[in-house]
Amino acid sequence: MKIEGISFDVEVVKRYPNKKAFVDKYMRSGHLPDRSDASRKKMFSEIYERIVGVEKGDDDSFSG
Amino acid sequence: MAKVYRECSAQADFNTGHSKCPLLPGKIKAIILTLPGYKIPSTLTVEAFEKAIHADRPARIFPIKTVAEYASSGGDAETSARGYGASQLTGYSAKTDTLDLEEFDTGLRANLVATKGVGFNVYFVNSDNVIFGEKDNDGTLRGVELSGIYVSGQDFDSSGDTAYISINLMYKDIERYWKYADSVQVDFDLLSILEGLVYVNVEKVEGATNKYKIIEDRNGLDRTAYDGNALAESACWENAESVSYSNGELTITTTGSGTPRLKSPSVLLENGVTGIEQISA
Repeated sequence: MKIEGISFDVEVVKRYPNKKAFVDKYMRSGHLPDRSDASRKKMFSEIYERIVGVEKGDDDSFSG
Repeated sequence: MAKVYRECSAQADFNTGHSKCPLLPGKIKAIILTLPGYKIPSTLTVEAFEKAIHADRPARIFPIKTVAEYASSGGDAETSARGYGASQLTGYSAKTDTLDLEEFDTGLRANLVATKGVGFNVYFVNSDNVIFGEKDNDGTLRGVELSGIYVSGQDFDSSGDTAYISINLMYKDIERYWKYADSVQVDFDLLSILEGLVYVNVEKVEGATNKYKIIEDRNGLDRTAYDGNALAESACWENAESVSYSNGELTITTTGSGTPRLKSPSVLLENGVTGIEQISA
């Protein structure tokens, strides 16, 4: 699945325990280099929800 | 059923008429090498040829272009006469064709040199997209058997010529080729898709997190800008959970501690990436 120019292996993303783990890792990933940290955090959160669904992303207290 | 008699070849399988419109061979523009026992696709379409060029070995076909000059050597009749008897044809001398390529490329030369001793089969393609080979038993075209190929040419520019590569094709049995020579013309621009693969490496950008470049194995050309957008697909990669392309660099988030690696050319082709293969580690 390709979102915002990033192609994801959906099955791997679904294996993240929660949204926080996904967003934390992707804030260090180097993707979306031209955006601010706040914008990137928001985008990765939305990407996770689009791939996995909001029901698994109930932990919204991620750091980063 | 086996014959219980023999026929004179001049009587049973011989005619001297001309075609109503003879096919003129014209000039060779490309060759296609195949490994012994393998042929070009039986379905002559753009898709089939692209698939064959990117196929897994040993079924892969290896096109080389563009041929700028052709020279033939050998293939002369050999005769002998016993005593006061008439000359008799004993056969034809070994034949080697030399093809000069338009562009010099040390990577291509290195690949060709490494095939010393490999008896490829070869097809020729002319400027009218006619493919020349031999007629196989099933009516399809098979490549002409070679005993091997070797390279020659000029390593550097001289006062009178630029550096160039020549490919020399040593025929295994020129008499057999002439006897079974056949051709087929395709109705698309075959020459435009006859591009062989280039070995590349995936190299991590020093000092950057998760940044990678695609570098040609020979001469170090950075191909990332050429292939980056197409390679920004996780399906093109092993050990990658996400890939994006920006500003001449690929950003790859790896799975676990794995190292990102390009999948086979056949998989890359399915994802729109053509012409590259990652060299084995």
